Amino acid sequence: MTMPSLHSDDHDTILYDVQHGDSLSRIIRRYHGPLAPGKQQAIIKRILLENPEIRDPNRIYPGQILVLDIPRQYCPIPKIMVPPVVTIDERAIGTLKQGLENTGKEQKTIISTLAPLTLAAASTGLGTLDYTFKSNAPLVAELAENYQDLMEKKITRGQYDYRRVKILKKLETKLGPLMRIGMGSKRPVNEVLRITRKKDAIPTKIIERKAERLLNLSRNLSRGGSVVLAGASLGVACHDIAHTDSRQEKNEILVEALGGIMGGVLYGTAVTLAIAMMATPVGWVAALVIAGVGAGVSYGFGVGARDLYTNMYSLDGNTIDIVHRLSIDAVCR
Amino acid sequence: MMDFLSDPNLGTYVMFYVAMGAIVLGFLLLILWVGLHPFLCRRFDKELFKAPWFRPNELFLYASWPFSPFRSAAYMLLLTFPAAIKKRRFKGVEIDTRGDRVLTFFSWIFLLVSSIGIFLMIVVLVEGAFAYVLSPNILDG
Repeated sequence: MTMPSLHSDDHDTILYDVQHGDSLSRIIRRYHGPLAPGKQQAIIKRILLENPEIRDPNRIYPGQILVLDIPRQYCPIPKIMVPPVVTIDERAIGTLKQGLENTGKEQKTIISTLAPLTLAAASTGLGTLDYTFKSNAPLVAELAENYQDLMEKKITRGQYDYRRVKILKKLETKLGPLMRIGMGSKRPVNEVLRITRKKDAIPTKIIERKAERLLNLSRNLSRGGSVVLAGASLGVACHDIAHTDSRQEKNEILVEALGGIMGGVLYGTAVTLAIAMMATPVGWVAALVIAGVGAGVSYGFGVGARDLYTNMYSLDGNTIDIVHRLSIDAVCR
Repeated sequence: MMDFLSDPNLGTYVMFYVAMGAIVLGFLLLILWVGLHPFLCRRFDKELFKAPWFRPNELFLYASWPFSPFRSAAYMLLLTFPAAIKKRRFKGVEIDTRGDRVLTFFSWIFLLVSSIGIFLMIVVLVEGAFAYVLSPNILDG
């Protein structure tokens, strides 16, 4: 049985009720996963410090309550048919910051553009915008943290002003022409991101709302990107089908478009399963290779499928009319 | 039957249906993934979507679309190949999946469909590459 109690930056402190068959190494493995012996020893030492009643680490008893520091657990609540999303609260800001700190700029940019290619969707432009908004949301949140530090007297007024100006300048430089979209206002950034002086209002409310806006923009871009591009690809095919008289060509366009998208889906599935299984971090060079191969496979399969259809048509002019059978004619007019 | 097998265009017919098969399986794969993802995440996220099984940047990236399918892919592998995935991603995990028969069944279907689809796609790509390289027109420009 565990009961959450205290919190630190990246750890939760819990009270752990020792069960039959438990040992310290087993408990550590449960929360930290398999560790190198040296690291495990370090954690055992910390447990002994926090639980001075334990005299021998090899002897713990069922029913004994231990104070444990475990890695903070971030579990978004999944909803049926809607993928879980990052919401703006303290935990999300922490996770975002941590995630972004551990990922290089190139890697993030490439990763943003990897999804479209592996999942046959989205675009580099949308990926870059997504990255821009997502990476700046924590910067806005820093403003709120800066104010909290001032209120808790961790910093002086001068330090607060200096940090605030620095963050705002950084934000202005990074967002550049996207400032108006990101902030949702024409006014200068220092006027938009301000502390509320209204009575009974949370002082950092406006800043938090703007951080949330950036995250929402990012989420919508990355979510919508794939749909937009898959839709755009089918839209172009639909337009070409509508403006072609030849039955053969209509079918060839359809087969190539579907082949391209489904080739990307199949390739994306293979890559996803491999990454999920191996748990090896994908560096930006690997991401670039995966994306490049994905684009090639997607294109190659589309063209290959079209060629096969053309060959079939040349053998028998009255071959399968997929456009007619799927009533694509009725939709693409 | 013998007439069909001796048809000189048999290769073209077979390859065309192989390509169409891959496209249809791709569609089926998407439907299965969209259907399975929420159920798999609801079942396993609480226990598994956290450190140390996912790195901090994975927790950040896989929380939302377009990378969230990586989570369900890992859970599907846990249901179908528990021994293999416990050696890599889910090292030392202690979770009882014996009651998840429906999810396991559909995860197997998913893996079967994806394996066949990927195999058919590779066949088309290899055949296309050979046809291109061995084409006599290639020398004529």
